[in-house]
Amino acid sequence: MKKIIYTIAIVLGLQGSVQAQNQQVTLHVPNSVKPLVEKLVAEYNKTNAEVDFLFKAGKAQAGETNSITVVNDNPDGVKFARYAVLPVSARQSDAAELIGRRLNAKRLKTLFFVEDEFEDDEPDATAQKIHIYTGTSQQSVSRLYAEHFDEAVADYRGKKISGDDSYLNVAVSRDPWGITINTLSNIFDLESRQLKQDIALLPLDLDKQGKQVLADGQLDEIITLLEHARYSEIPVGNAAFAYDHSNALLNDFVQWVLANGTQYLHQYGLLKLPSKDLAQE
Amino acid sequence: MSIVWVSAQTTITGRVTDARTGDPLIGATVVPTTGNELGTVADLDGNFTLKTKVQLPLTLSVQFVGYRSQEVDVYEASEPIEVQLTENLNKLSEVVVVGYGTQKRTQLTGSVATVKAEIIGQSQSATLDGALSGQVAGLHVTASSGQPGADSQIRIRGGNSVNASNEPLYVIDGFIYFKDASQGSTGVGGIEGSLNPLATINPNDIESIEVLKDVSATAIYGSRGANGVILVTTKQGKAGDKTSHINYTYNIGASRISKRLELLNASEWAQFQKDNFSNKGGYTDEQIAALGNGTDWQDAVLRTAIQQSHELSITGAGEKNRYAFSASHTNQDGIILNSGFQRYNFHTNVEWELKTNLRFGVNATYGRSRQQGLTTTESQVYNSSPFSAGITNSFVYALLMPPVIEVYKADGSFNFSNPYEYAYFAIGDHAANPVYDLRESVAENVNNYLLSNVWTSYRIGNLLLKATVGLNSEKLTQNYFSGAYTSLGLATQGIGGTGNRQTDVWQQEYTATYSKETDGVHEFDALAGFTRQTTTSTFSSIRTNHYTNESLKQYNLGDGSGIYTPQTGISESSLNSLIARVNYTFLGRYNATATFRADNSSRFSKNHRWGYFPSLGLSWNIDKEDFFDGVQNIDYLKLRVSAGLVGNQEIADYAFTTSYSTGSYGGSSSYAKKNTANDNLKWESTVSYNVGIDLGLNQNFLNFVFDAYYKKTSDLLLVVPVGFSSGVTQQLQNVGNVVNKGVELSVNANIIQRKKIQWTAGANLAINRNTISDMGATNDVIQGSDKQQILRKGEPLGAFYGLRFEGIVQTGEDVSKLPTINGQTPKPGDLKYADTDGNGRIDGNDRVILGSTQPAAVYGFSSQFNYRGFDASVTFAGSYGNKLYNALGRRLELTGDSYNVLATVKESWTPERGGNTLPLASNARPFSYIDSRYVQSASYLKLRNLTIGYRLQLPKSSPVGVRFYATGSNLFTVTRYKGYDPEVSGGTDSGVYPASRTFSAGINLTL
Repeated sequence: MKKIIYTIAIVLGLQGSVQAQNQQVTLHVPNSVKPLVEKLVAEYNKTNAEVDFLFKAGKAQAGETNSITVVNDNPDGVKFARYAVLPVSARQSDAAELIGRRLNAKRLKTLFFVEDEFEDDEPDATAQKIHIYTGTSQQSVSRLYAEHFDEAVADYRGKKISGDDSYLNVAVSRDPWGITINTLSNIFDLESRQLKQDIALLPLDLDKQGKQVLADGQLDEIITLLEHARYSEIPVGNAAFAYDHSNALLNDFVQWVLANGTQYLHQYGLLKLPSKDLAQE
Repeated sequence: MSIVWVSAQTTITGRVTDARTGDPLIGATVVPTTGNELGTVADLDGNFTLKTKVQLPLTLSVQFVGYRSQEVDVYEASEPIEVQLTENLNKLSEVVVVGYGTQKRTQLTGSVATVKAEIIGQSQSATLDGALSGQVAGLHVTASSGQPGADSQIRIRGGNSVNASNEPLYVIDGFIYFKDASQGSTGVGGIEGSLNPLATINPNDIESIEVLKDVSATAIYGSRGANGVILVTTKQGKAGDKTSHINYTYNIGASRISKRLELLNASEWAQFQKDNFSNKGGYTDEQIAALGNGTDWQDAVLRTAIQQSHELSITGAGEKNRYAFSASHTNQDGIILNSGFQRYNFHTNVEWELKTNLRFGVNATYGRSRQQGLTTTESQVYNSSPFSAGITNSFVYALLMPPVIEVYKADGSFNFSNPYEYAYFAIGDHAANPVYDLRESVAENVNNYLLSNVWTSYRIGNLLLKATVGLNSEKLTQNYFSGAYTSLGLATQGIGGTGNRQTDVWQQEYTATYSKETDGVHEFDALAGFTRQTTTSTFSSIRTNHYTNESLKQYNLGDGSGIYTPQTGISESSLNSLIARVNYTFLGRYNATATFRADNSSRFSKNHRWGYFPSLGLSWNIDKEDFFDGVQNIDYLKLRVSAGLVGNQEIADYAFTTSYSTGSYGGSSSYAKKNTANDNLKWESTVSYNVGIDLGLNQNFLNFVFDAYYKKTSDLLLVVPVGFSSGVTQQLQNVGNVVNKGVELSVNANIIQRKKIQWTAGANLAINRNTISDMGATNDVIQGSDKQQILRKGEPLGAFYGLRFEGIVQTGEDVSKLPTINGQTPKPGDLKYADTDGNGRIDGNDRVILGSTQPAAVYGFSSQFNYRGFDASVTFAGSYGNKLYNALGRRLELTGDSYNVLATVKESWTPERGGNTLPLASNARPFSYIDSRYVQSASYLKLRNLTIGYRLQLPKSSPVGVRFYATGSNLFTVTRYKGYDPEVSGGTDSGVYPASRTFSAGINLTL
């Protein structure tokens, strides 16, 4: 009997020592940056094998320890990348054809947001026909887009899509009159660096270089363009890590990303932070 | 959030909120548009859970009455869905607060008007009654005076009663709060006016005010609902809004009298004296010319009054709670010297979810208000009383001061020499000085108050159980002191007093509410409960006179050698009630509300304590009928009808029983019979009928609410004369009926509603006819210190009664055909009155009805405009057809050799000049009865409020919001009334504190 108890104690002790060696970090990451974060984790684990990372949907629950949530524009978060948002439709869609001429910031605002309380009073012919799809999630880029145009999320026209922003692409691909907005990482195929099949960028009224770059539809050219120029038609937001800053384990991972992880941003469709912003973090 | 797979079933969770406020939309429906599955309903926090077997993606339609519906495609259910709905600007979309609950406006059967916080905040009024003026059809607010902190008289659909109160019932966050006039006095006397009981509530703490007008809405308050009910809901944090909202407002302003009376200046007065009287001053024409303006006593007692206020409010919510806290300080000087109002007020409203379905909340307001007013002479009618001579307070006395008298002597000290004063306010060569009176006298009300309510609720499925215990505790202190050199203290070498009244009102409420909706066909809501309210009020006061040292004033009353009999007392009352209500809606079109309340009041004799008050209301949403589908431009159309019975128990405690007042006589205690028992005393009851129509046009561009009503109050609580055998001269009895009937119309227009520009306007009109339809065996009852009012069958309450003025007897007129006055044939320069009974002499029988205090119509107009940070609002209010007895004007046109007079007296009849309004100046006492010259039109149109503001257009990332604003109050009044202001409650203007015009500016910071 004593032997059995002794054996159980050793087994439990071993398990305890294994748990002590490998600590677990939970990551809450939107789909748009999930491939990037998976890459970062893989690279980090090469030198920090004692940390296990677990990806979970949604945001961190109250009381959850050792967790990091990737958020958009959180003032308490540590910024590590930027992302750009562009309007898109299905390729050769009726919506793109109806919109026709290039969209400037004013037209984008009119197209995506209700003009006034009596929306139906003076319906804009284009806005009336086109179906707008935007996300309801707290992590959706629809929030950044509304803020950029000084509008409220509730003032978006059209239909809401719950869940990850990748479903916005699905929605427009099924609706020839549908348009939506999404991040470069959701719009482009990260392997081919071309637009995803059946997705088209809506034409924007940018400067000559900007028009050309968008027309070419090359992800890296667009990233380079947006890292050096700002357009009122293209909102750019910050991706940040939200976590308990007093947690040394999490701090170590975040600092490693800031020091070593930015080299992977372009590969995964994100923009680098301006060097002064990076220095602040 | 999680996905739960049970037989390929997906659980979708989410939350539905108002896009603007973040409030949960309780009861929002969430229905899958694909498949045949049933939907679900959002709970108290706006959360919903939907289980579906339909494979994702699934489209949900989220709907809530009054909001634009929203479609959401659900591709995955890993996170809760956040749905924000935008309000549809439709009047019927509102959820309104009703007695003991809330109700969708579409389902209302009663007449309920709502005033929102934005409107209340714009009024800049220190009390909520001031903020209601002009906002609600059929609600007439009359300020009792211009004194800061003074109360107002509010009438909803006219007055029902004579001796019981006509004030509406207030319910503040569920606590029943009645403005009982007796609780505003400690018995110390000598103080004009009293603190507004509603001063305990800071208007900026109010989220909304609901005015319940018809019986379907008020019957749940039974014996206290006859005069209408005003429900006040204070601000609360928004559930789910985890951001703390901090709001600070600073306001500073200046007030001046809005209208001055034109009095004679020194030269004019001296000339008038020389022309008509004995020229006591012995002035020569040269001296008269040199006198010039002399002393403007009206100016001397008035000032530019500064007011300022600070307000801080914090609202927010946590996971399981929500909260609101506010602190405010108001300091408002009055336009009369040494008068003003100060208030510290703290308010909190907190709610916790202790366990699932178990909630607990506390509402509490604590504060202290202080009002410095005017001392007043006793309102007794005997010939040697200054009051009987129309001198009611030091302000009126200032108007009467001869302008040839200086305020100060050459050495800067107060001038107490007035050779013209020999009647009331002079002893030997020592006369009163009104400026000194006002500066040195004390007449203050100090109220420390706590209004608190603690509640808990527990939900079991569709059943909500709620228990509430509340306390309203007020300690009123009244201090009064007039030194030996003041008008009131002259005769007694100073007089002072102090009094305290402690009033505690406890309230308990236990209610159960069952709500059920089935398939959108039947909606059912039933309420049952018990409530109990007990009131205990104790008071004590003491007065002394004849002091050797006045430096500590009312804090050294023991120095007085003369001691009046101390007054102490207690009164207790209780009201136990059973309440029940059923609301039923069928197909969203047909609504019914049945209400019943049984009240047991200690204010009536044992056999008549129970009163039963039922009502039934029906409404029909006509626009929801199939036959209405093709009708264009009408958004909604609703017909409402209601009938029921409500009561009035607001009489003094113990009025049904014999009572005695105590005193002292010859050094021994004495008792005097005060009241004789009336075992038949019972409720005053009002049967009421209402028909209403709600109409919305052109996508809510125009909203109309029309109501017509008939109210008959029976068993009128009336003080009637009784025979001497009873030991008293009068007694409270149930005698007679009063009928109010009228129509009301409200129109609201959303003229422009765009995101950057909004313009709304509203107008309301109410026409009411008030008639005493029966007075039993009682004949006319004459009322008022000048016998100026009468209660008579066929006439309205507040009817004025007096002689009809017919001009001045002119030189050469055939006086033999004129009726005699006091047995004398009138001579040129005398007044002429109509001899209505044709008996050849003028006496009391010639008096006729000269109009009444009841307006034929009251109306209001308001508009709000916003454009890119700029805002402007304006509110007008008015009344038409009501009269006011200008007792002050009558006094100031009474000529003599002691007092100043109005400049109109220069037009008095003389043989040379003639004249047809004022008689030949003389020392003659006024005729015993008032005449039509002084019952004047009190119709008015007032610009109550004009506010313009600008909110800085800061970036959204700015942590601070800043708004500057400027407000003008009482900017102008259009009226034919000849006194200071046509708004005087009670119908007699004997020189009340005059109204002021105020300009203020402020800054509002939000974090």
